[in-house]
Amino acid sequence: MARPTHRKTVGAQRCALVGAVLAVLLLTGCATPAAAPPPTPRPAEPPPAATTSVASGPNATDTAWVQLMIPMTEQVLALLDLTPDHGADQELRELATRARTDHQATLDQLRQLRDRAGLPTTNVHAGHRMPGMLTTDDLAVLQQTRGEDFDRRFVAALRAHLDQAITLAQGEQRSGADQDTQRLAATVTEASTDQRARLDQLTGS
Amino acid sequence: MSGKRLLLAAALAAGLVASPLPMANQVAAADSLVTHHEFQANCSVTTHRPDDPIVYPGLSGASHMHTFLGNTTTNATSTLGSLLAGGTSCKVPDDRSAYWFPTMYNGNTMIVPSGPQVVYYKSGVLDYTTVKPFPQGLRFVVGSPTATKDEFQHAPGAVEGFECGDSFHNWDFPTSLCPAGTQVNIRYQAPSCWDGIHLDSPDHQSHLAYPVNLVCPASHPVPVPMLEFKIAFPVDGDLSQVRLSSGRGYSWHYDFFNAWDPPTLAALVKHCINGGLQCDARGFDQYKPDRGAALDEHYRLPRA
Repeated sequence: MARPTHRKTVGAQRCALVGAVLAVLLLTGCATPAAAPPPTPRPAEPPPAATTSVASGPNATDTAWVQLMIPMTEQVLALLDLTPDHGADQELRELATRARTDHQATLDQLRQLRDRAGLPTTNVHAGHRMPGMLTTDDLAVLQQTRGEDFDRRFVAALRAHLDQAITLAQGEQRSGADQDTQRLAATVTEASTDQRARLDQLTGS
Repeated sequence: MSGKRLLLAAALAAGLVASPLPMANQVAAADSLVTHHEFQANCSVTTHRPDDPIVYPGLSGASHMHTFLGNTTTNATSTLGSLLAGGTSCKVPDDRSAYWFPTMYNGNTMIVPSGPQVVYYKSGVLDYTTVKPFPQGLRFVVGSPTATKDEFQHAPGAVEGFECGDSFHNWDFPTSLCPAGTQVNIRYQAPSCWDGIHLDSPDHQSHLAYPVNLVCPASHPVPVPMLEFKIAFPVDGDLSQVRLSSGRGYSWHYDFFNAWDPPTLAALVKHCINGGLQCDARGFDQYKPDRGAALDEHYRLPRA
């Protein structure tokens, strides 16, 4: 050998080397495949976010938004469910009750959009740490917390959720294609912005 | 894997038969032996964003956190056009491709690969002379963030899993202490047979396939460069709190969005992969200096 062989040589390289040394002797294995036809690149699917179609159904942005907002909304609903029993501040509890109604309505519509598009019910983000999304561990901690400590964590978690929900909904409004999905995103932007303002009002920030 | 082992065994057996060959001939032939067919892209980290322009196009913040290499503008709304107008952290200024993978954390501290990382462009097929450049705009996801440990270990792209120091073939992060100063490395190979038609597909994978017995299958007849990301994460010692933004080590995956200047990519493929060299990012094989380099001293294609 003229030089050290790479320690992590793959089979292809090993085989090619052997082929070079023993081209005639080695009758099996390293046969030369027929040349492949030349590539004929054809962008069959243009970048979905760039499409401008109006009534052509959901694009990749619509699908991504629906598939992300379902687990995000499910997780925040679990938080809002805890608030009446765990929270201390009456006004925060009232905010949570109203937000719960909004989020449940949003979740119902998201699931309808998902089913209409024939998307699986699988959570494609399971086990990932996602911006603004409460994890099962976060919820387990909140489950063990009450009073002012709960309120503090509740405000931080709801604020992170709402901020992320607004960012995502605006992305869907900008880059989505399906009108029903974009309409729901507009509703989410509006409701989340209202809830965010109320939260700031209550916490004096 | 067993196929490769068989070939090796056959080769060794044949080698015994061939042993009467005069030793001098073997030495004389050594310099022309083809042992590699590759070049490297050397690109450093640009940024970290919860974005994925392939899987979640147009939706900022819709992904787990990714660490990006290459194009300096990559975000959720990136298209081929926006990438071509962007800069790059790769040594080759005409490689504006976007490369990204899940961000690694130790506890809540981000682990950022330091300096240029290695993305190999290799031959995934036996006949490396047939490998062709892939077209601009081709994009795909390699591996799966939802893989189980078993799926990760037995995936066709698996090389040796995670390694640090002398510990290899870990299909999750090493559980033994990584010696001080070592890094956690991962190598993983991409499919390298293209269907010749689609730049993307609904699952962002099925327009490409892995070779079968080192040959591209009829469904995906075009051999293209086989990417192999080799990423080094500067973390050592106790890795019990190390995780990826996508979960455990076996959720490792990566994305590629091709925005090479076509003549530059074509020159590197021809010189290094088709030409059977072990090239650096400039398309130069230090063991075969007489073969020259594909690019000039500025890592650019010499143009008339």
